Amino acid sequence: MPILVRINYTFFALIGVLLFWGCTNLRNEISPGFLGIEPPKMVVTCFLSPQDATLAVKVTRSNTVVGDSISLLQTGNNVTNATVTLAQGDRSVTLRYDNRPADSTKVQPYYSISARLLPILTGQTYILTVITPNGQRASSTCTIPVPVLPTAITFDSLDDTQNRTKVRRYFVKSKWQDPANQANYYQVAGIFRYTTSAAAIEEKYNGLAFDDDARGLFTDAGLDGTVMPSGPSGRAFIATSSTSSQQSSFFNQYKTAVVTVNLMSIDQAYYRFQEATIRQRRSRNNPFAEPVLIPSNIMGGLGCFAGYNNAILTKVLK
Amino acid sequence: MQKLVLLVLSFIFSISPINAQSPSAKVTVSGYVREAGSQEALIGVNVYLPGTTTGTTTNTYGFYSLTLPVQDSIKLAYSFVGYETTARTISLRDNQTRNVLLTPGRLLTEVDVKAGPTVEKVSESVRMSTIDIPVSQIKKIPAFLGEKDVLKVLQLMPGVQKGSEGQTGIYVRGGGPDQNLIILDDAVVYNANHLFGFFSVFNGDAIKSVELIKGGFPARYGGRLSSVIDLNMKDGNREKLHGEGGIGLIASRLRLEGPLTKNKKASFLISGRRTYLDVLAAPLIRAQSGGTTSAGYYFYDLNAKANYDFSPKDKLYLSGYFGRDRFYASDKSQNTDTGLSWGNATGTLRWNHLFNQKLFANLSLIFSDYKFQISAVEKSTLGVDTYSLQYNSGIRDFSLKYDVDYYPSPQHSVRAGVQSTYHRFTPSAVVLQNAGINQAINNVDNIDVLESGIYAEDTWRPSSRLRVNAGLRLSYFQHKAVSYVRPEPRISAAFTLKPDLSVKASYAMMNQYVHLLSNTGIGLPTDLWVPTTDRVKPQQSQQVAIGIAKDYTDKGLTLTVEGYYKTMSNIINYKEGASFLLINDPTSANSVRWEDNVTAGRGWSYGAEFFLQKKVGRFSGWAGYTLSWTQWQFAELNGGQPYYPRYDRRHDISLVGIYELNKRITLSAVWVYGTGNALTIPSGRYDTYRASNTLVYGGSPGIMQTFFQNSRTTDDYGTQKNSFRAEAYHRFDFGIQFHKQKKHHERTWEISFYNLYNRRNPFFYRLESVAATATEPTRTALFRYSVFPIVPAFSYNFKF
Repeated sequence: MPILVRINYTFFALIGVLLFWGCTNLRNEISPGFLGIEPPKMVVTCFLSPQDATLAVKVTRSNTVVGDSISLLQTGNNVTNATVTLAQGDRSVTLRYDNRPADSTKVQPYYSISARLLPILTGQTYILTVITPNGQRASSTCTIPVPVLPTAITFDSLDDTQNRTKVRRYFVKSKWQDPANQANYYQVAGIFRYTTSAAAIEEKYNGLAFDDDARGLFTDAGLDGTVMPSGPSGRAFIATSSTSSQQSSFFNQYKTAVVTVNLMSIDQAYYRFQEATIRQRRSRNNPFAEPVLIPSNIMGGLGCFAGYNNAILTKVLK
Repeated sequence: MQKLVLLVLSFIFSISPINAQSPSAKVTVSGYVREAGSQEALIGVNVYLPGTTTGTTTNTYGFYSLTLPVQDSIKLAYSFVGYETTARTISLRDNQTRNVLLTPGRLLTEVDVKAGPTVEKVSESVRMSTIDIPVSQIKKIPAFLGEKDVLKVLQLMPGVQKGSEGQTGIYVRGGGPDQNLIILDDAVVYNANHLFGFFSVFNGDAIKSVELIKGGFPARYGGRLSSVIDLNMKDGNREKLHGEGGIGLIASRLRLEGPLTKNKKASFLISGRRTYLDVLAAPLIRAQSGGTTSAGYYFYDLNAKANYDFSPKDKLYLSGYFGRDRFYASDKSQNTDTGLSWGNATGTLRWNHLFNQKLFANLSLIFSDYKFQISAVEKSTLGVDTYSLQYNSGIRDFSLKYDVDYYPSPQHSVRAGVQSTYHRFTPSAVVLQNAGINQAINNVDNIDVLESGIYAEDTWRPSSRLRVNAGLRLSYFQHKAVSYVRPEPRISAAFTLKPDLSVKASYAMMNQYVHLLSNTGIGLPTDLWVPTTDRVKPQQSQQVAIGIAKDYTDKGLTLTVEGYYKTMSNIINYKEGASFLLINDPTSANSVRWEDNVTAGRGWSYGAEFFLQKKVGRFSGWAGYTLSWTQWQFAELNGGQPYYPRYDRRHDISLVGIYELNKRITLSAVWVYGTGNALTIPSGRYDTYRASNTLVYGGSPGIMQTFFQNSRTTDDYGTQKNSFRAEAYHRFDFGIQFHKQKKHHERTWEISFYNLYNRRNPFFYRLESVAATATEPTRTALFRYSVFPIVPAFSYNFKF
């Protein structure tokens, strides 16, 4: 049947052409215009606490798809020429960019001022305003929370399996009494300072790493007025030893060991911002996870302006 | 059993008044309609008195019953799409049984169509939002890699949307793929995917009929919010041994069917399919690893059915499905074996009993099981297991179902029944043996629940112009102390405005007591079914639909236009940042409860659907258009503001055409268009900092205070979830079949092209850095990833 032959011939000729055409790249760049042209946003970060000697504000711009192809300035996106003011009541100070001492050669890529010029006080509300020469404006407010003192640090260990072998892991955990009838948020941090029993007597230190999903961030939601944290959460692992070797046990490893816990009472804005960034970071490379939107309390920009209050407890482990 | 029937019937009579007393004497004609040559029971055959609106249709087992006033003789017509219409002159003096055989029409011409309605006219049916597709059409539509797929054809219907490119996931009227009740011979199929959703488990060879219900649900169905996909397996040829098979690019399949006894009372069908990429790749993998490694992937399906007529009144059917996907890798040098497998198994035992000519009953015993398994074994050089991990998750059902069909008069068709399902959910079962450290974990987490339903419905024809289907389903769920009893009213009505034109309206309330954890939108085997608990409530939907149905009898065309509004409450979604893949570390000591990762919300969807269909003739196919809006609102997502879910699709078009050029060549083509998905895409990136770094070190004596150290790169998704619209999806597929009748068999060569014009449809988008070039600095750019360019396929099929 002639038609059959003709169709067959055409088809097999086409297959070759189309296959060649089909094997071109499946990854294609999209024109930025497709996303909707959005200019870079101002990113403002500032954390205030009564314990700070210096008040510092970081101002950068976000990298947008459109943004970086036109911004050829390679200053790490720092905004260096903005007017940055902090105010409380009728007092107001302007912070200076790269406000380093005359004898320092190290660039300070942020705006700062001595805390003596605007004391940070518990319960007070502060207003941050950032205005760029071209009229972009970002502002926010925060209130300094009341500090909560850690009441105890416990030192303990547990047996675990790592790489299919049994190990003993040592951890510290702090406790505190949550004030009742109010929403409280905490960031626990700390430092582990030690000297090893090896020849050198140089003191070393590590930051405490919390194994909670939120990296030491806590809310008293559902735990209001209790001794926090509850259950196994709030552990910071500081050392690991193989269970089979007595030599590697904790007390043999260190000559001196001191733990300092910082219990920072934080405001809600900081909690929401940090909690979201941690969650986003965890699932960022997982295309199947629900994307995490980062809340911001900066009007006219991104980032976080937050108040916190620090309380310290130290425990000598050895 | 008799008692139960009486109980159910008294329940029906209490809600639907039926004329028990009739002034004139009546007689009943009943029987089975089967295919000539194979004795295959035909579902949905139109049995009617020509020139009147009096008639009925055959049920799932091919049974019909018509009760008419006594008269000398009547003419009764039997018609069904793809078959020659048959008429019988019957003397109506006594009750009688008329079993009828319909002859398949080889190639229907336009002239045949004019001879009479070969299908029940949509304008005369009370049902709406219901689509049935002849399986013969599915076999002619071009398919991805030549694998004919029932679910992918359903995606071409208005009101039904696909998920991502190439996926079998089905989104009906704003509902998710978890809200579809997919049943094969009464058994629920929990995960209808092979190979991560690129193929469905339904092998067209073994399927007799497919029906999709999008709204106006009859009371006999329940348990899901958005749709019912009811598939029936073929019974098997009772007269002669027949076979059909095919050799394709990725898989081969074979079906055998035939009589089990000489008296045509029993038959069997067995149909299988297996992919063979692993067989072809095995020598390559072995060669590349120096003979130490073997690895591969395959899937297979097996459908089997047998049936036996004990007596004219009693029939027994046994049917089952078994399918598995499996990835495996073993390394001889390291003595390791790892595997990943998943699949469904279903089994149904059904007993039909005819109490009398008006009362048909069926008892079903149903089993369904879905299992996902990971295994890892390491052996010592002596062959002893030193480490073994087995992880399972899944769901297993045992159900008992009893249904009766009662045909008291042409004005009433009553159905009633009960169903009870005992589910065992296994969110995770871990068995770990580590001989090295003497570790043994055996954590099996089983949840047992009971889900039941009782229903009654009546299709009532009060006048020649009005038809009503009214029913009530009472659903019941129990898990430990949590229990629910919920009534689900259902009603649909059709009013004939003029011949071949009717208006229809329906309302349905649905409850769903099982939930699917899957935020991927892709049919992954890890998708997990979980029950309603004290923390997760049952999902509920209410839907109203109105529409018109028009038959163009002379052209063989039907047109339906429908509008719908649907609300859904207590639907679940993952919390931001949560993913099943993240929480599911099988050996994790501090396991996360799945309930901690989900959040409940509500959704609503509305839209309009246009559907023009031509089932018969040399040129057949359909055109569908959907205009719709879907929105979700969750307290914990998007700051509590409503947003468009990923698969909200404003416009969706599908055009499907099949043309029989001549007896030897069939051409087919599909064109689809859909608005892009609503996605959350970062528009930029920025650095974020923590307060603690500054303070902790600064507060310690001897350590310099530093500010804004340890920045973290963060994506800026803006303030609105899913505010980005992906590029529109469109694709053209084309296929050609060459048929030839050989001496003992018929063979078909098929060549098809998926995505013929090679459109780069988006699968996902990603923001990436582009390295600096001589003229440009480093920059960030958005990339679109596509999965399928043009994909040609060919296959060889035979039939004897």
